[in-house]
Amino acid sequence: MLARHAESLFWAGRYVERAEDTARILDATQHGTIIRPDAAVQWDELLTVMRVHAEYLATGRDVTGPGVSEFLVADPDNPGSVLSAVRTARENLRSVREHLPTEVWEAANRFHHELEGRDLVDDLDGEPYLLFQAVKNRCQTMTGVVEQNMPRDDGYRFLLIGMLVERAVMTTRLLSIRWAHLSTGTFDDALLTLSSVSAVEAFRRLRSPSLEPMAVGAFLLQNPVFPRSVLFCLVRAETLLGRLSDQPAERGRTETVLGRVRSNLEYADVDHPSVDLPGFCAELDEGIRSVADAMTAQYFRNADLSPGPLPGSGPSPQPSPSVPLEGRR
Amino acid sequence: MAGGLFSGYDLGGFYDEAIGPDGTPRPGQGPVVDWFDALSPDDLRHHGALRDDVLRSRGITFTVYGEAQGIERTWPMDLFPRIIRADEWSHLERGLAQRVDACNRFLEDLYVGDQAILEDGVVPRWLVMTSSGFEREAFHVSVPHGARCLVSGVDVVRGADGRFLVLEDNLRNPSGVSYVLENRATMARVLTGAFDRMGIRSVDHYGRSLLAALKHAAPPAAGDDPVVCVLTPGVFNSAYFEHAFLARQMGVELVEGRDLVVDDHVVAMRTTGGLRKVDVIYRRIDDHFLDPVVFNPGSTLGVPGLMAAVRAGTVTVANAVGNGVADDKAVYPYVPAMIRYYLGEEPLIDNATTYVLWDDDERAAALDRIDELVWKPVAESGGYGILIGPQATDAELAAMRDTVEADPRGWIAQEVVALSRVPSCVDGRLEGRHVDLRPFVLTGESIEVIPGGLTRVAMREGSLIVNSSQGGGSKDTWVLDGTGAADPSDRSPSEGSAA
Repeated sequence: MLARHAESLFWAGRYVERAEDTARILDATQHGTIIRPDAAVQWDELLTVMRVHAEYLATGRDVTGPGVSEFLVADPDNPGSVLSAVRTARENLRSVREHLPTEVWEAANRFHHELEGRDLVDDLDGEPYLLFQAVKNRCQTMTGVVEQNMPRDDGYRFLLIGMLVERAVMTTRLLSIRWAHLSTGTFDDALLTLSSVSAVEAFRRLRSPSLEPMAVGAFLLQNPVFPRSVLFCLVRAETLLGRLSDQPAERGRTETVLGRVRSNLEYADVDHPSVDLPGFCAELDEGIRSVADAMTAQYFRNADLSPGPLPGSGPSPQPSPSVPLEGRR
Repeated sequence: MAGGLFSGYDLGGFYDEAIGPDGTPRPGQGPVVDWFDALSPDDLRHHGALRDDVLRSRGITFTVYGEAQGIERTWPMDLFPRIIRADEWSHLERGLAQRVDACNRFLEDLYVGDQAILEDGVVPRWLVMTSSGFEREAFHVSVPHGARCLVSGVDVVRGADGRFLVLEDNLRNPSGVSYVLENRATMARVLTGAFDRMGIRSVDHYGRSLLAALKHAAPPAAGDDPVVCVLTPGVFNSAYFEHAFLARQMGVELVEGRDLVVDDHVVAMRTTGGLRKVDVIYRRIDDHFLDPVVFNPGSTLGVPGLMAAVRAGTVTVANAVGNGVADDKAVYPYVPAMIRYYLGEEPLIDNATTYVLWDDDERAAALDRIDELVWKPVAESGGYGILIGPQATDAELAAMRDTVEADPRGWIAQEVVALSRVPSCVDGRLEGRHVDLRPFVLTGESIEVIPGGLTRVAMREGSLIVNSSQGGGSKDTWVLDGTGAADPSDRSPSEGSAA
């Protein structure tokens, strides 16, 4: 498939996942500020998880629940806000429309129009829970429609890999920020972190019925069967990568980088008391981002794909819709 | 008509496509007229809301330039269909195929032939040579099977006497066919009942026919299964929706200039697995942006080296480069002569009455009636630059007079055509609105006309401007196959159907 299309699908996947994860984390934080007294700290941490701390302060707003929620959901100038993420996901899908089953495009389009038509600030003020629920539902509708309708071709694989990479990054960051509470913490801290990734029930059933805070780290990083654990995402992405039909003859660089990051994670003894978990997460975060970079270099912007300098080949005529998600504005 | 939605319907002195001068439905129109007449205003609004929902969720949009906010708009489609009877259509179909056939031959003659039509003085040589659409880059560049006008979108109108007339041929990059298909898909969801027993000819095969025509035009060396792609200027182009639509309908890649590279006169696209050769490019980029090496050097939309590859015959670009000369409105008056010259036939569809202003006598006569005629620049398309005399201010007319005197080759004047009308939904009622018709014609193994076409409608009362950028809407266009259970008079020709 066209390199540019592959890139658009990859980013569409990342943005849809970003929207869903943001809604999930906000929902949990909103709840957390009710059950725990340090609301300001939690909102502050949330900005760090989303990597928009400086950007937020630059808007001149105080770190309060309504301010942060609005910034992360409804601010059209924040490229990572739910509103912007859905718009960017749709723009990316629009540029690859001919690769998409009509149902997938319709789902993205409907979602975008719904958000544009809603008074999001008012929703956050009134029934934020319903808004978060709606966002999560819409994202899951999209994922479902993708699963049900998209042929298992390279387009599907790039879209899915985008989602998995984004999910892995978000879970990693969430854990690195929350670890300080978990390691000294209580049942409430475990509950809050787990519910940010919809992992409460799975954790209870698979790991610790009493929600042991210290066990949360290893669970979210390494559980092989919970679909939002980092390891699960990386293993799945590795499988999809290996199935790409347009493959270079020799083992690609992306596979090497991803394989290394995945095995480092898989065999790390993160439960050991000497392990600096936030440090481990920071390295993991870095590693996952290097996977995305390797994909860009290998599949999307492969220098081998241009046969040499050509007369008059200028910059691309339109800004790439694929704004990187790393909190850049 | 039992006096429902049609009560008080006013023909306004125009040719109405649905209702005859005696106030009863024309042949073939009865069932649909009755179906609408039986609706209440609330029903109509309900159907309208459903239509908007379908169009919006399917993302059927067009882009209006020069609007900061909401540049992407939902496509406007009126619910009342425009219906063309089988016998009317068969006449139109033959007339359109005849026109496109002659235009293909004319372009072949000009670019790779002996220019016989110029030698014989049928079309003035100077007129062709001064056309901005005459492209030296196309000189001696052959096109497989001479299929230069692979896709044409001929604009046809019906005047007060019920005769069809051709307004322009649109042989370059006609757009709108995606809306033909989407209008049909939307109507089928919204007005299910109205389709009953009508015997409507399908338009769904367009993508297949287009792909077949494109593959047919591939260079012979491309083999049995040539690689086809659609070349778009990008997501911000007003017709991007259509470009993506067509690529999807054909199951081919939608590429931008930056996705293509030319190496040693071979065009290839950049894929995740490396470079892949391309044989046929259905380009939706104007000639002058195709290749910065030979055309506009500042353009980044095209592909450097593309024209050299076309000249080397390794790739086909459709429509062919240089078609603009036959689209030149000062050349258009000669299309009937081309039909007689190349085909030895009489034209089946007439041109609108046109005055060529480089002729001193015609210009003087036309300028005497400046406020009665329509004034059009020769090189534009899509309704740009047109001045309608009867609706223009004195200042506009004075400026037009100066413009024409300064550049008589650059303009034509035409008699105003009292465009026919079709009942249209306005505020819960039906009112007559003016329409035109753009049928799409493919040059493949043979010339194929897709049944119907895009009917555009001027939704403002009294307006003759049907362009969607200027408040125009559209209608689904139904060509009847003659088997409908409508009524027996279906097969009797109505007045004026045979021009």
